Amino acid sequence: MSGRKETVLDLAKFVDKGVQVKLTGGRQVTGTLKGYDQLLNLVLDEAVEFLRDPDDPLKTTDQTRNLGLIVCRGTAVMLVSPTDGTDEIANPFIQPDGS
Amino acid sequence: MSGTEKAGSGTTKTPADFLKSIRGRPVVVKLNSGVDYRGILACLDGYMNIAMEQTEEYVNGQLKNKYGDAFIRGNNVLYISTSKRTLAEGA
Repeated sequence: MSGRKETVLDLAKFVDKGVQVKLTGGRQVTGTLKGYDQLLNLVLDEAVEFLRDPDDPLKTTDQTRNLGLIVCRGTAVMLVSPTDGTDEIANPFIQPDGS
Repeated sequence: MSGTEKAGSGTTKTPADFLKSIRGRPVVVKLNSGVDYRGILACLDGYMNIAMEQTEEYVNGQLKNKYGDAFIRGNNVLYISTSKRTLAEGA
């Protein structure tokens, strides 16, 4: 393995680009990545949180909450993905025949 | 982390050898939350931080999201699996 400080998470290429972040516990936030460190603490600008379905914490709704400039604590970060190149698919939870 | 890294002499396979061998291959990553991520393993490190490409997210077996690139923080990882022996693509 190469130098200790190197990481697979080359977030430098995502600085000033849109990212979406999943956090442990089910929260999901998108925003512009402004900074990060080795612990994966993230600074996001113009952050928007997608609020969760009250019945199922794994599902997010279309409702959002503007958070502005935020720090995401690294220990809570589960997944980071660029918003560019993310495909939104049809909602698999919508019942075809209605519930 | 311990800096000792075994030289891969002999046929013994350590977990580190397995992790090196699956680079570039399709994998399934299960997180502690039970969510599965399927994609091409681009890179991973000693903390089990993972970079994946063509990533698909499955919740309870249902495809929920697609990410061109995805980075998963290692502490969330329950297991990493290759589908080499299981030809069925199902859950």
